[in-house]
Amino acid sequence: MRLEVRDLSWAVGGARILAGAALTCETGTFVGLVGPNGSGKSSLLRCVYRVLRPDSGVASVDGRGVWDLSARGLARQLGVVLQDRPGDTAFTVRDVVLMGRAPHKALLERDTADDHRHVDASLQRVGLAALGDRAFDTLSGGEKQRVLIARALAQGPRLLVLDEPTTHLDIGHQLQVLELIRGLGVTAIAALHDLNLAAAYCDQLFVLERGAIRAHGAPQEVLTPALIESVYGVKAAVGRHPLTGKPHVFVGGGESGVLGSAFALGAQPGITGKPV
Amino acid sequence: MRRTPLWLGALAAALVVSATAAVMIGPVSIRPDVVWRIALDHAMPGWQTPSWQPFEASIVWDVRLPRVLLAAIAGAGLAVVGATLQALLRNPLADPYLLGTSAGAALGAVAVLLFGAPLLGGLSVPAAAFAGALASIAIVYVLAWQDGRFPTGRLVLSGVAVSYLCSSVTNLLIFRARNGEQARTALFWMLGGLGGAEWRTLGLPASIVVAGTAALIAFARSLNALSLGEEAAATLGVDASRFRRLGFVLASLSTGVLVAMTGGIGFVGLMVPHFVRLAIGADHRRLLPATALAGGIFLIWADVLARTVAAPEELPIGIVTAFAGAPFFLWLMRARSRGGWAA
Repeated sequence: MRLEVRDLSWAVGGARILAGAALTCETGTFVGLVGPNGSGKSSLLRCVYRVLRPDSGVASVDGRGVWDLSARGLARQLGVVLQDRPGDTAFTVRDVVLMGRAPHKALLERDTADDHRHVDASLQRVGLAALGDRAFDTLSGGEKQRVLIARALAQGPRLLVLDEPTTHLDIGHQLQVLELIRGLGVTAIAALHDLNLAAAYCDQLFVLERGAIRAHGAPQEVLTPALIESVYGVKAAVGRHPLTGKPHVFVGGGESGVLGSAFALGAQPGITGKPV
Repeated sequence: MRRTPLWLGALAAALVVSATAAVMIGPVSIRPDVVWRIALDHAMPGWQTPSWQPFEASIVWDVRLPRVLLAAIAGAGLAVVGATLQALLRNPLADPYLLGTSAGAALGAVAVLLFGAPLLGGLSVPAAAFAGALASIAIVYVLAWQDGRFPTGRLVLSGVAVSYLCSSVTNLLIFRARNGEQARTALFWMLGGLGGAEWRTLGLPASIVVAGTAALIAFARSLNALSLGEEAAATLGVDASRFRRLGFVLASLSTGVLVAMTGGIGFVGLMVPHFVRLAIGADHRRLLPATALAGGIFLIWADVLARTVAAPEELPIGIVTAFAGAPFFLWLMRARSRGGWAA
């Protein structure tokens, strides 16, 4: 499924969070959305999965605006893995994944064998087929994240949206999760913090800065020292990963890795909002 | 999961056994077969050959059975409301009594008892209780909401504040009542209990609790999704805010009509869903029916205790449920501060 985002703008409390952001995610590709804290990554994704209604602009999937679809209609095509993981539930892993079938069910419809097949297949794909009966709360962070990916898969999505799927995971689990997403073969867009992980796994990168796309393209085209310095305010060098050959960003170096001026310029819209 | 029908069957059987036992127990003991034959005699007159004493028929049919049925209805309704509020607010301490919903309903009911509202006739007390319940739930909702969720501390404090406020206004109304007779009626009603159960007043709470529970079971998938979080629910196609409003109205309806009938009975809605969750898990499609059955069983036995422990005196049933509930509440708070849900 092709995702197209045009001219998204959204402001809250006088702060412009999105300022004409635009991107496309072609069918079958894995797109990474990178940018500093507060650059609007989550807000952009929330516009895509129809929780946030932008002031102007449109996010559309296969040519249809997400607000022209019903919440249920969109949920049948688009699976979302949120940044916040639910805690404090008494659900089993299977219960959680089965919820992914909800958008396909009528009010009183029972779970069918087909639903359970979807659940089994989804758990299989994230490598947790054996944990179905475990309590969700007892899983590790990495396992929980994979369960939530399985729930999104159980929706039978043609597009996956993931908001920082690797936060709070150790490095091994970060790789595992991204490897998994890449291997699914589903069109996916993920907000990512780690530029090197983004470079290693994504087909295309979009760099968001103060609510607008600053640069986009293949990782090796986008991740240049100049861009990283100007967007993140840190000195950087870009080399090659010795094993994968992918671009690898080295930050810092010199007397001070942090370019003091970048923060004075106001890299964070939350801070540059109207003075109180 | 496959054990679910077994659990529901066992609970349904336990409910029938409990109801029978509760009708048997009292100052005059009545044999179980007599209980059933008297009940059947009223259901299908002429089918049974009367072999019982007229006073036995009167005790079973006029006194004990309506009371046991009211206990079952109230227990089921309060427990389902508790489970629903826990999912809607995503907070395991949610309960109509703790959140002030019952106190709001009581305020509405007492206001009508004292000042009257002849417009709706017999429905005016339950209607006022419903309005009070809905208003107090709305106030707690607004007070406790913070950054997209209901933190436990804020929720409980808001509930307690609303509860105290409603209770003090209720007491003020009674204190200032011109008519001593009405004040006594209101005070007696405030004590709560199932003693006022009569066949002719059972219909309303029964139909509201059954219809409300059925509606909530129909929406169980949405309750499941919402208990994972507002945004998660939205991405699963659930309109969280609209569904939450619907849930609050249904919860207030049951709470209102039950408080109007029985006064405030605490802790049923808190405890029962937690025990059921431990046994069969959190999926509301099984949790809600099982909670309804378990709540009915719990309140039937609480009422048996209330009327037998200090016989011939009768304890207010709220004392019995609080005796079990308060320690449970403390235990749950401690368990939660260690990071678990209820286990």
